[in-house]
Amino acid sequence: MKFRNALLLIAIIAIVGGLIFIGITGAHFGIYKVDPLYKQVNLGLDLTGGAYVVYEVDNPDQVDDLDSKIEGTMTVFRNRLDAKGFTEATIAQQGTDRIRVEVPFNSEDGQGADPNMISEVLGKAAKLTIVTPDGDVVVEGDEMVSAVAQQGYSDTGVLQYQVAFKLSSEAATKFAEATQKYLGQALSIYVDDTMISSPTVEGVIAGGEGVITGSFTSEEAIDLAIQIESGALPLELHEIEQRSISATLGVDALSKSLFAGAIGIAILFLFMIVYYRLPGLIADMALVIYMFILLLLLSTIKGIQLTLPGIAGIILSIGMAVDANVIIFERFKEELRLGKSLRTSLTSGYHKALRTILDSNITTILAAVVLMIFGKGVIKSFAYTLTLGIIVSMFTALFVTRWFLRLFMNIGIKNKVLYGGRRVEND
Amino acid sequence: MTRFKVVSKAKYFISASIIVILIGVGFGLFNGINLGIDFTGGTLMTIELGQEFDVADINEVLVANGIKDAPVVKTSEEAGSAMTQAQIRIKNVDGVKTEELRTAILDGLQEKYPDAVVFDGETIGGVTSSEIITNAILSVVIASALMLVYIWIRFELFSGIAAVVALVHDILIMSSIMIIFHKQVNSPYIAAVLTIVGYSINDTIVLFDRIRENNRIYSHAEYTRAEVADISFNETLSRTLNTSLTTLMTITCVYIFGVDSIKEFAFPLIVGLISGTYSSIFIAAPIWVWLMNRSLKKLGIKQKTKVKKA
Repeated sequence: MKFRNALLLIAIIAIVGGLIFIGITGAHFGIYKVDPLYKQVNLGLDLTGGAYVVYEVDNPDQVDDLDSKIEGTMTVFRNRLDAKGFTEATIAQQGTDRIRVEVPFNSEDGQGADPNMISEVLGKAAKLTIVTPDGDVVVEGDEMVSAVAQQGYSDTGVLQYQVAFKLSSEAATKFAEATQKYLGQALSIYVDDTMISSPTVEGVIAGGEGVITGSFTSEEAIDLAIQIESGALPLELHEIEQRSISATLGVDALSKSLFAGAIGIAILFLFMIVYYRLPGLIADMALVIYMFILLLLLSTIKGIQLTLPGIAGIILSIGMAVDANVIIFERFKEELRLGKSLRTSLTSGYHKALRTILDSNITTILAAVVLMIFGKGVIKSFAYTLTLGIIVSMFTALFVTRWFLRLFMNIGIKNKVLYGGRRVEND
Repeated sequence: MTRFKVVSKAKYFISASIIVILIGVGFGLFNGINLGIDFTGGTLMTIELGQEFDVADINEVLVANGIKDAPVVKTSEEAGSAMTQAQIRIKNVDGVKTEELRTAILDGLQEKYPDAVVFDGETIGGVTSSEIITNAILSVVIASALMLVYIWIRFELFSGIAAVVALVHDILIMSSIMIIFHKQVNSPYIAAVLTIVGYSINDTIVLFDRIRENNRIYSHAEYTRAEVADISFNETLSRTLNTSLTTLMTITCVYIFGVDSIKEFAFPLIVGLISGTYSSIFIAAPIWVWLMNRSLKKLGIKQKTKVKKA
């Protein structure tokens, strides 16, 4: 019995230790690669650096079919950001009439920390113009009824991507006149200020339909078609909130918070051992498991972002995780000092502590849930980490600590002084 | 058993809290509250100019864009290095699109300082800032109401009332200290207040849990409720102190070693943690005793006589 329990304890410590080691350093198993846990946690902008902008619809009451227009705007945003290489950007609807765009700092090209650039990328419509050799504008983007990316054959017979467009009837007439006037000459097609092709007019185009060619890839053709068609965004928007955090500040904040947390936790661990002896050591082991589970959850649950207040929330929740252990140990100690046996003290101590822990933690969760519902941005992410922390801390205190305590007793460590009893109670 | 008697000295503790709150109100009236951008709205931007600069140049660009009396502060990325960054705080102006204003300011600065880039910044619209305040107040009220109901169900109404009074006390103390030290109040402060609302209730619950248990052991005939509260307080004292200490340790480390933006959050938390522990012992318990005694009197239940048990 003793031997088996000792083996079990060693096995558990080895497995937990191994998991934690992998969690910290990462590992390779043949073709499988596990990243360190902290690298898998989805970090908020305040820790990576980057920028976010919240746009609000102008006069939302006067817009018909707001939802689908917001969706349309978000699609246009997505396309424009992707086209500019901000593939990590997130775009989300906020409330009924707002759109939030987050662009994390991109360490490869150093872009992304400037909100001005985001507004430029998002606010800009692709303006298409067709210009005569004399410099007159024949057709403007908003005169195009539709633009579609398609495949077609070039003059030399090569299959290529192109954008087919259709003009409004008035523009079609103008275009027909222009093609007649400049027959045999080149008409230039501009997107914004860049000329993308300059085809020679080979015949009068009367139907108001034409094709833009310019050695596009399929994506470029699609992007261009979307940009031309969207021309202006489906909605009038204005910026109501914006924040940018430089990358250096973000990285600095992360490393300093981790350092602060490590020191705080080290002091805490020491305190627990000094004050509660063996149970203190066990609580420390349970706390390590607690942190591991919390990080695991943070890295696997989608939509939870770790932000600066979130880190503070975790560190605070560690302090609170200790609380559950403290409540149990104090009860355990009281029972021991009443002269009860170790096992009876453990059972009745836990029983009495359970009610206290549940009541006190549920009230805290109530507050955190209210924060989750009414809080925004950073406060919301703080509420998520806090709630998660409290639930995990209850689990570790109520199950893990107790299980460890029992294992130690089964191994035959029965000196009551080690568990916080007084010397006299030891026979 | 009863080493410390607190209930009989409650009037001193309650007076001490009221004095702190009054000082806070006084400072608030004369010194004002240091409201951050989250509450006032506006734009805060730090521009890295890439070289030492003259504040007058910045002001010139601002005035050219129609902005008067916007404070400009010289800063550096790290303490001690060259002051090449300008921090500008601009109020919201109706009808002016902030994104266009920011671009215009940067363009203007780049004429003289070609390397100028936006280092970091923040814009909070008028709508957002009023939403933050409404949401905060709403959150506190709803959270307190939910807790009151929960405690009412699990304990009894008097414990619930006493616990909520202690919460309000903590919020008032936190706000007073923020005002007295003229600390900037931003949305992290709201998060801190709500954390304390959740945390401080913990201490109160642990104490009331013990009172609930001891109420069954110590009859009205033999003990006054003040004595029961004192006994319960002494029994839970080491737990209360240890928990508060461990939590304080971690959060104080965060305050000492963390960056500015996390300090903004850690400072009110430290104040709140201390106030929360203080209030559960010195405010919540005496109020509970007072409410209990009033109600016992009404019901005609006499304490400490052997006539009958409640």
